[in-house]
Amino acid sequence: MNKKERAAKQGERPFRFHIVIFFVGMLFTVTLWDAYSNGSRPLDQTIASTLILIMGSLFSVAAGLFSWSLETRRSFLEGEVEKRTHELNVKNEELVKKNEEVENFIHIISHDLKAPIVSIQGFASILKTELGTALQGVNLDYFNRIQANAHQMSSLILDLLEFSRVGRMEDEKKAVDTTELLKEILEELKPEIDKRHIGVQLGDHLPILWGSRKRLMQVFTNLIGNAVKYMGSPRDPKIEIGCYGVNGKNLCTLRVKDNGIGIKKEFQDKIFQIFQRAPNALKVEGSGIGLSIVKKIAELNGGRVWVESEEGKGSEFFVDWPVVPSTSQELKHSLAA
Amino acid sequence: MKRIFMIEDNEDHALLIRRAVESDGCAVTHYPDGPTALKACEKIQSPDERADLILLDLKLPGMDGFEVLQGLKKLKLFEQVPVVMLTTSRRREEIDKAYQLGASGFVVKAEDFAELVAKLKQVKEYWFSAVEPPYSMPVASVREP
Repeated sequence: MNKKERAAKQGERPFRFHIVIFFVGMLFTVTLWDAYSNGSRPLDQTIASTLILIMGSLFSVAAGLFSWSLETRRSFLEGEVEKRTHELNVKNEELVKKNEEVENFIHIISHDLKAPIVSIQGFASILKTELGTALQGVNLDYFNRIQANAHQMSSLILDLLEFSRVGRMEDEKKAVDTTELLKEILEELKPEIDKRHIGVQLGDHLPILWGSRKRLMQVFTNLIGNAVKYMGSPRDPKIEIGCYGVNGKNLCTLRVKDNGIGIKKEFQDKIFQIFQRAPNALKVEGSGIGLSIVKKIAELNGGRVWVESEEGKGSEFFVDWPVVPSTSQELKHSLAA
Repeated sequence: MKRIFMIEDNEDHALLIRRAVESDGCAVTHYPDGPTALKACEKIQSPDERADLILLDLKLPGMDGFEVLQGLKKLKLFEQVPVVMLTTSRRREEIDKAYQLGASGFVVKAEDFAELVAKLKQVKEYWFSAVEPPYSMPVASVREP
């Protein structure tokens, strides 16, 4: 609706109403004045009654004006609400469109970046088979480096894609059994855990969390995976996973503690930023995206993530995450399903 | 000898796929884009000349894989020929769309060549063991997650 149309709408009804009230009041006053001046005196002629009549007329005019003012204001506000709603709808549509564009752009980029990696890895693997034992020493080392780099590039693309997806894609939330989820993750990481002889302690009575199972899986796979990767060689390698209980905001604090190589104080905040990694003597490879995904997921779910660590002694990562409200109908349905 | 038509614009990928599927005696005909492939298929009049399996890249220049798939399904002689889509991504919407348009399978181009060979071998074994024509076996078993 344009300015003219809105103005027309504002003026229509309240204007007529106020004019009617005004003229009725004025007509009444003039009739009384006329009757009084001609001497017909239709009413008792006292000063008090005349004043009452005049005041009544003035009140009619004031009421008309007040009504006009209210109606005008109401129409104006209605117009404003309509205008703002329209603007919001337009912006929302633009955002949805831009979101789709970004998703398509990322998809195309990832496709185009992955296509050469498929070629590099494909031909490298054919060459390696064809050359067999002829490929050795420093040449084999160079060859392996080519393949490792191509593989790292591929992981980086996948992680970047995942980072961009978190938050842009709507996640289906439901009740998630923490113990069952963690057991599944530990089972997946079992070969690495066994290889490093790591003892894992899983806490009792872990809460039922509220969120996307996929995202929770990402959070804990990252945290436990990091605990395994950065374990180093302590005398008794171990990982403890547990929960510190629920606070007043319905958030529980889950923790993943290890006695690995730890993180220097100055890097403890940086590691949650994208592409930031703490230097490590173990030369563990990584894209520097994992913990930034964890942070993004936790914050999007109303929680947070932080770390307490001492270099050489280990790290303890904490995640605040919403638990299922016991009275929630949604929970009942979800658990029943 | 089984005939495979491969529609793939990336020459490197075409070379790798040809090597992967030709190893056990399949004849591969390569088309670099959709219109060329459709034109060639339209000219085929006899069932003896048509493909037993079509490997179709999803991202082709100009006419994309979906359009080519629709074009192939309109050809009477190719209506029943299984078309397996090739892609480098695992986008759910694309996979669903391809199946809706009549694709018979979906293969994500693996980085590891041995894995690509294994995947394509699985596809060939599945479709070449089917009763022909029409190919009536369910497509679910060759779907990728």
